[in-house]
Amino acid sequence: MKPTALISKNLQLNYNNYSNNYSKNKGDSKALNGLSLTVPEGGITAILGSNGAGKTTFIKCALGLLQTNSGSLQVLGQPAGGKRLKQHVGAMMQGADLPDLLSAREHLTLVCSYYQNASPIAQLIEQCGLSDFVDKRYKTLSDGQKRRVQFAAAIAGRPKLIFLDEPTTGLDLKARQILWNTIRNLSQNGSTVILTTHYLADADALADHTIVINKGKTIAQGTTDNVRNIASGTVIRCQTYISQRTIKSLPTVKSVNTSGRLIDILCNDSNTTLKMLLELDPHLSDLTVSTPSLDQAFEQLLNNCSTTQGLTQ
Amino acid sequence: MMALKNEIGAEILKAIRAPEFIAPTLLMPCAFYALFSLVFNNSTNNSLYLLATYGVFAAMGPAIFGFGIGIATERDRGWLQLKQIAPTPAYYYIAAKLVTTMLFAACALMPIYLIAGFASDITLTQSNWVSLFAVHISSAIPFALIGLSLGLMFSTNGAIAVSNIIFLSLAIFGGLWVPAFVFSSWMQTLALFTPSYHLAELALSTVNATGEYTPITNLLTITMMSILLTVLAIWAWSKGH
Amino acid sequence: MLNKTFWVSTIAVVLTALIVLLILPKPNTEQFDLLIVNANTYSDGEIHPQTDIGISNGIIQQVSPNISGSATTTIDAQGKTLIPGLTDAHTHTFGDGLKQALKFGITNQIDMFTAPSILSNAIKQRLDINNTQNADLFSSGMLATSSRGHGTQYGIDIETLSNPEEATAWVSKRKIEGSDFIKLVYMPHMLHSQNMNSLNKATAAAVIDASHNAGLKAVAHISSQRGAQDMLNAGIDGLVHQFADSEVTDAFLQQAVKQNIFVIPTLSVIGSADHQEFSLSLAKNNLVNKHLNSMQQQQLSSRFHSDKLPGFNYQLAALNTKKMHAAGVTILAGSDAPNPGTVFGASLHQELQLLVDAGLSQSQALNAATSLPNSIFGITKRGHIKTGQRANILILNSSPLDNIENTLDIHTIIKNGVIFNRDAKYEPNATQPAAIKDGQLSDFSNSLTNNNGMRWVKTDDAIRNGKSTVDINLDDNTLYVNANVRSGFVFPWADAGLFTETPLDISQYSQLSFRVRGTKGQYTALAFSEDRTNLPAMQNFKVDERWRTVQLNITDFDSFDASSTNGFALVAANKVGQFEYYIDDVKLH
Repeated sequence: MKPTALISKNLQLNYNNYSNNYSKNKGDSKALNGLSLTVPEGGITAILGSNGAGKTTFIKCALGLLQTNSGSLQVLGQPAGGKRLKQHVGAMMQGADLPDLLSAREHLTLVCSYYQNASPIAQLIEQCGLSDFVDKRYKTLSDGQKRRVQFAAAIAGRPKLIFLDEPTTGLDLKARQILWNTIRNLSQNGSTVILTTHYLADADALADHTIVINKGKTIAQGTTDNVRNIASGTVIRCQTYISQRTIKSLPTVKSVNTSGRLIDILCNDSNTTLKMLLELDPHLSDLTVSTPSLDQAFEQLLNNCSTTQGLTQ
Repeated sequence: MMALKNEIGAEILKAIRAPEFIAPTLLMPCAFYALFSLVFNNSTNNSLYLLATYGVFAAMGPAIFGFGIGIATERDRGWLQLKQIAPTPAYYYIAAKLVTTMLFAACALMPIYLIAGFASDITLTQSNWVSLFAVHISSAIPFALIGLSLGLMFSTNGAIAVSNIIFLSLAIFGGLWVPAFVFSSWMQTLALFTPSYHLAELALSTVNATGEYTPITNLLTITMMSILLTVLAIWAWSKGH
Repeated sequence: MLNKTFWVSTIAVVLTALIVLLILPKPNTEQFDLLIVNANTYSDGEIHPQTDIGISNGIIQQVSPNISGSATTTIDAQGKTLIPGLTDAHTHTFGDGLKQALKFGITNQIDMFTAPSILSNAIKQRLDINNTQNADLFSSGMLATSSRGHGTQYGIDIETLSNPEEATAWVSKRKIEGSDFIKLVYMPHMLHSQNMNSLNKATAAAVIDASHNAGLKAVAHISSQRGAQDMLNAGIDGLVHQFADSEVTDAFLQQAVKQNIFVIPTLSVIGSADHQEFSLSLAKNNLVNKHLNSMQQQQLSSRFHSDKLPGFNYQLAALNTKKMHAAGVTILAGSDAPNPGTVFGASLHQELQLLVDAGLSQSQALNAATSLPNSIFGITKRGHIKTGQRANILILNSSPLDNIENTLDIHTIIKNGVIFNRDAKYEPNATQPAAIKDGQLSDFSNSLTNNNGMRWVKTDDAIRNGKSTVDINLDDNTLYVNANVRSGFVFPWADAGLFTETPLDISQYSQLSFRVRGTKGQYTALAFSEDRTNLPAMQNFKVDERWRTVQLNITDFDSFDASSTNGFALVAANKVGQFEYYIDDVKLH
């Protein structure tokens, strides 16, 4: 069995035990509801989940920023939030901005001085591609540049374990790809990277392992390939008079959702399904065919809870 | 230690790069003092009173705003979280802010002293100037504790609003602008509950101007208030997590 | 970079704060005992116009163009000139000399021979910052002379020297006694009488060497150029008189300059011996005579002898002084008071005038009586108007740099920070004086006492460890006094006095009269009042074999407080030997 960087068992955290400004589902009383997951040492692990699934909350628990109500959380073999851990754990938090009025170089100088085994600043600038804007004030940088500075700050202490909370949110494709490369390089240097995302593409592009969580629970974890397969299929969106019940009864159809006057149909075999639909309704209109969104994949995963049991082995 | 010095350096850079911080903290006390002691004043005794109280006022600005708004902003922007994740102790951050506050308070005090000495013709012995400066600069500490609590309890916008209200209230009710003894009796009673009033009394006693209470009483009150404010700040800090 | 920001900002702010705190105006809390403002201040050869001088605890605390402090007493010295308290570099102190000197702004006296017994007290006094009523005394103590040498004629016991071997032990005794330097008498070539003697050359040289070995300066009394030359050859540090027997040779001048000796010409006393009249004009000077008592007035008009003394040619003395000064020999001002023709205090001013006549500039003359003698004789903290110096200052109404005679135009004398009252009477003691009942003091009809509770008693210098003796008896309604004055005290006396247990107020009387006859000579009446720390006030009178009536003005008893009189005494002052007198009808009028 591979050594683990992080093990959590049956984490529970009530919303009313902490207050923050992030969106939360009013109906749910628990931010984490028996979350159990294992992150192997080395490589990149993606924690996949929709907004409010508990990804950020989990990372805060792992960093010791939040205390869980029950359950156990071991980071690098020590209880989460331990003092000695801090030298070896880096994090890039969602919405954790850096001071506007300092330049990247000034900021990295400060952060590096926190760590005993910090990277040389020149190397950080090189590694994260900051040289073009390293002396500009943080306030004047683009979102992508800011994210790279935050990333550089997160790895300044040469951590063994790095949390990247939604590192690519809000970035255009190019900026996202630059960051992906940087994260890959980091992982190749032996660090364990845990990133949260709600983009399947992030997980696809980067992660060796993927853990899917929803409503404070792990619903799937395994290699990224395994997880992707579970959520595979095609989404057919169209306007039709065929009843949902009829569509659901078709053999290739996995699930049906209405979206206003349109209907989303998740199926295994789009060609066969389309033929059957056109036979039933020749006037079918506004037709689009696409790969499923993560939301649709999660829906699917939830519908197939029994299947996920097998994946968690 | 390098981390602490860097932290202070970073705080100084942030402060001097923020004109919206510099203007009110450095210029306002000195401008107010010049206005009240030179333009509206006609007795020398009064300028000495104003020197003692406006010095407290000058130290109050950087302390309340630097801590209150500064910490609220950085907390809102998640910067504080990164500090908590970092291996350096949290007090580095507070200490750096306090040192910066005191440096700015010193910068705010110097023009006031110069106006007092060379325009209002106030003369004090060397030891009186030094002890007055010591009282003024130390009065940043209780105000910084107030600012810290505000910064930890309120969001950026809330902190801006509340800091201003607290700042003005402490200035007015503490008798920093207009002597407390001209207040109505309920306002005088209120003054007793402000640290600014006791700090002003302490400053007055160092320049041999008579206060209402003994310096020991003032000092004990300030110490007690500071302890309460520290408890409040610790509570706010832990709740912020 | 952040680290640098920290250091630069912190240091900049701390430095700025320090500078601001330093330059901020300080209050005028500088509180002085005495503040002299707007003075033209002379010190070390220069006049500093518009100077303020702050004095506290007897010390000059601050000298600056503008002192903002306040003071218990402030003197506006606008238009006046301040000079340091003067030093008379040649005196023989006794009696009230130190007070009489201070009346003329002489704050330091360098004494060239006095009884060693007074040295320890003199040292104590000059160290005492509260010694504000007398000049400070620096002295050679006993002088080095031979048996029957000059100096032995004054009634003071002198340990004389006869050979060089005695020198070292003799000098070390002087050092233990408290002599500040060694004065020796060397005049083998010009003795005024057959009966006199002098140290020989070898002994004098041995004394000089012994002095130097003991760390003391050696100065010599000489009376001829030959004597001076011998002393120069023996390594003397200074000559305490100008020689006036011959014109100084160029060789002497060159050697004197080379050896860096100093000379105290004492032109005043040489002039007196040469029957110059300038001491008489001094006595007539209104700036002087009102501060002299009758004895001093008389002293200024007295002469050594009826004939001029050989070897005391004033013109030669002045010429030699001029040539020495021109050659670069250090000249110091000394009066040799209270020799005949000189008095304590006033004669130094005359000496300054004579020095200017001899070619010194006004400024050089002032230095010769201030900074120079003090630095040469190791008198510290005196002679300059500078911070840290004793506050010994003369405020003159007019500048001595315009005319050296202006040193007599004294506005205020300050000794150790206290304004000296030139006209002071002694403060009465706590004992309330009783009013006198009867001006008729004594007719000696049957007793030594009178109606006022006064009693005639013997008085002699034994109370000051002298050796004189006296007997008094009633004889045919007169008082018979038989006295034997022996040397042993600087001012030996042995006589009769009329004293009271409780002080009496006799201030309604203006005159003391009595009838007297006895051994012919000059006598002195002493008047005693309460709180006398020094010798009593005195007036002279003459006695011979016939009865005569002596009338003395009470006010002529200098520094005598008639409102608390302790008594009177009739003595033969400064005279050693046996004498007798009869006295009768002692009255106050």
